[in-house]
Amino acid sequence: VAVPKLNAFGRAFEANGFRFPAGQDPEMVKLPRLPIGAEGQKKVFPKAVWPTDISLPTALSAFVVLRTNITPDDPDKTWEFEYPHEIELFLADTIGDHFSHFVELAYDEGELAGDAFLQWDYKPSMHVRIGGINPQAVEFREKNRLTVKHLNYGDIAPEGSSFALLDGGAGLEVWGAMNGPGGSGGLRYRAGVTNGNGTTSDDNSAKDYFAGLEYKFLGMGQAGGPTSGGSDKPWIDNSVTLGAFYYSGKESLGSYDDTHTYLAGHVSAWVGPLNLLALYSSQTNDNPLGDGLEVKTKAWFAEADYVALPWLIPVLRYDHSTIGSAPAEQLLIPHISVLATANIKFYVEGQLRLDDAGTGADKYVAGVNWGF
Amino acid sequence: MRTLLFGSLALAFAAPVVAGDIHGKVACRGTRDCADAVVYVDTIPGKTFPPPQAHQKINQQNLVFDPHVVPVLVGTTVDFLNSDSVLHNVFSPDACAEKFNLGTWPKGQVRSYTFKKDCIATLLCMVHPEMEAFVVAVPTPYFAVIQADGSFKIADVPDGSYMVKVWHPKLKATSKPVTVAGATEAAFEIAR
Repeated sequence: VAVPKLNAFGRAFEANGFRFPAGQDPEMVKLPRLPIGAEGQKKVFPKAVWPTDISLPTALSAFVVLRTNITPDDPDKTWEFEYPHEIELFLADTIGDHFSHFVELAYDEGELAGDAFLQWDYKPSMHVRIGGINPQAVEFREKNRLTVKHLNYGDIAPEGSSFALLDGGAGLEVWGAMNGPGGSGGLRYRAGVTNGNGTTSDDNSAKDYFAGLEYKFLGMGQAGGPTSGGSDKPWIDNSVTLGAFYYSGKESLGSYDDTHTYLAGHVSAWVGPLNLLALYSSQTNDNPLGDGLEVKTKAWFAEADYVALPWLIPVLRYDHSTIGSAPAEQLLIPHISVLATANIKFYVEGQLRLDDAGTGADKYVAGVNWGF
Repeated sequence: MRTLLFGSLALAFAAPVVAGDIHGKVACRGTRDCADAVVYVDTIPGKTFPPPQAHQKINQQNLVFDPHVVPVLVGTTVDFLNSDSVLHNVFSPDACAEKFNLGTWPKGQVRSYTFKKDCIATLLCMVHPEMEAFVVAVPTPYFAVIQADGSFKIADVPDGSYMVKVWHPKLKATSKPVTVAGATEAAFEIAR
């Protein structure tokens, strides 16, 4: 749709292990690949190394985020240039017929970080990923949002806990997608295990577990199909997707542990150029402050993304988050993305607090992202 | 006059069966193009063809087999020349080519193998695992390598009905009957 939000084809491309659906990669890929071993060596296996191939040159890309942050009511700083907010380098490729990989090196808010995964792509309905994974709702992943503001359910924690679902983590996951009847819609699932504390080393022996499932009605098949003439509006994919996910893990907080569990349901509907999204998450922390008291957190949001023109996408989101018995935090997020080219995106966003506690905490962001 | 008449009759009876050709296009789905595909007439019942005396040649130069795909009549001997300054080997993992292994030899030397059966023989080099070629040994002398754009022409095919096959290294082979009457057009489609 607009970087980084994927349209239905982008999701199907991902579901095929970053390959064109229906085995169309060989005729679609323009640059010939470098074989590492001839195809015929497969006949010699196990008396030879199984052949593979890589792209040449290796696909290297970069993504840069510059932001201007405006906080009118902040007594210390009403505005700043955050140039850069983030610089990322990506290496991503398929490796032979059944592997793919992704490597990310990021300079993010003054810190260097890395992430990588290797993925075995048995078929669209079965991938196994090892490395940095994203144990979030199948449909609503942080990395694919249009807004600057994170999705609330992944960025909220009660006092005492430092765990945020959006951080992802090191681990293993199995996921896949398959088309529904007639080749449209279909199922997508994801399940796995992670350290549970981002990409840092684990702080305990306990692992976090997650599972997510979604079903899409109508629209392009989750695993895609043979491409034909294509549409002049490739973002349109009239469909409804319903899903749910579960996440459970343990965080060690000094002398005590806190177990956090999430249960969430979500819906996404495309009607012409309009994408409506909503998610409700119920989170429980059994001991975030070490006093044995459980804290429940409810977070939900509703968002509308409207592709007015291929280069002009206004977004409006409402976030509602409640931690324990505290008053809800309410946020209205108007956003507009303007693509100068397919790889240069300007945007303006407001993050407007509607709750009393948020008085004076409004924030505005103007920025530009580009990739190459 | 009588001599001329008998002479003409004799020529008429001795003339070969009228030969045409099979030409047309192959649509290759699932690859960038049709390069390396082979089209050939399959076994003709009751007909055998003596293998050619001349050897087919495949050169190993700049770490590639040249040509990459070679269709031959069954019984043809193929000579493998090493034109590189490094050692080369040629072997086939395919049973129809007796899983032959010609050993390893230096620049300028030739080793040969006779393809005795119908066979799609993958040729590999043990020294250079990225090297690959194919010998497509077919039962008739009516064959052609298909152009990258899918066009082909098998010349000098006698009129008659035949089973015509298309093979590609990465796509599923296909076949269909073709009746040749002079210049005959045929179209094929192959896919993964």
